[in-house]
Amino acid sequence: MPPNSSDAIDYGSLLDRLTAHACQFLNASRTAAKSKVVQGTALSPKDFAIDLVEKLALGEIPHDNSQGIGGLIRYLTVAIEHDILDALDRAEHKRVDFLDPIVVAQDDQEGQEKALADLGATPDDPADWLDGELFKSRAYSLVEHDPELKEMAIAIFEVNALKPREIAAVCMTTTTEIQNRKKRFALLLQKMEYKPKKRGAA
Amino acid sequence: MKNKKTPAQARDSFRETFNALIPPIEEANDEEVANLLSTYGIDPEAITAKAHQHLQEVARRYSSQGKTIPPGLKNALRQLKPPTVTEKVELEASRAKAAIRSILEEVKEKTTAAADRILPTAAPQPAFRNKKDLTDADRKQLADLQAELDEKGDTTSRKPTDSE
Repeated sequence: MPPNSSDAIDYGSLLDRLTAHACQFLNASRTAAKSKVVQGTALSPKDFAIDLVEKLALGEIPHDNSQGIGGLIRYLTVAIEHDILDALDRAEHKRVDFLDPIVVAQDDQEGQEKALADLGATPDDPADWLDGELFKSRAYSLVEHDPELKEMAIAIFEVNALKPREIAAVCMTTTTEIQNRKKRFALLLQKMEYKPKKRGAA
Repeated sequence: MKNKKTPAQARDSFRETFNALIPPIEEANDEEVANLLSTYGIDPEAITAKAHQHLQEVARRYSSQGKTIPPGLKNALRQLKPPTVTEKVELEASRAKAAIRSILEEVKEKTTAAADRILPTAAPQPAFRNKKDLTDADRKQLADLQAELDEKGDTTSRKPTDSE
């Protein structure tokens, strides 16, 4: 059962939910799915979740139960998304991204100068990824064999329908059906692994 | 030329799109959350254990500084405390009992359903073999039964005519 709005905080359930959300967000945020951490910071989904739970337990995150547990989880998922994006923006992560051993080894053949020249202008720049085009193309490739999911992706990416009711209206279906499609997409998302693009590629 | 989003706009846009594509985690049930964690190779017990250890360190810092441990932290520590060996055994035993009970109930339901299909509906039948003094009601019942049997006998013993 989803947590009841009148329930007191169940820290175990909260940790599980935040970790699960962090896994999905981190995976979609282009980081290496195999290592399961933000490279260069060693922060894993568990760490992000535990950090927020600590702040909540210490009273650093205000919670008056006015929005219930559901409202608290919603608030914390937004916080965890920002924490993950901040970590991705951190210099350590960018540096590791730049010094990807495979890419550096490949670039060694052409000389280190080329790799240095590519710094900040790579197709895998976090800003480019977050700008949506790379994520969009990966998402489309995930749903290409599922017409219903493809329809949902078009509604989201092309029509900018973001709320379930808006997506349902574009797809001419019910919000329940949209929720089911989202669950299917979440399963597909696990298959989306970050593959660093070869530097210098068009 | 396409306007490039500012970093803040790009972040917000990415978050909005992501949240439009996946179901909200607060609406997932416990089983769905467990499945999600399992597919990402995460053991929920390991999360709890790591969180408890971390919060214990925070509580220790409070104590060493002579500060009162916040009630929220105490509550979290109490909830996330890993089970002792005895508690684990009890938990496993109760899970096993529940699983066995569920299997037995399923078997019972299936056998009852099968028996209902196979066995005819039982109804009490009067017996007069050892009865000495027959009442009027008994005689009437016997007469009715005799008539019913005679009727059945006529039907079964009737030979087909040539025209049939």
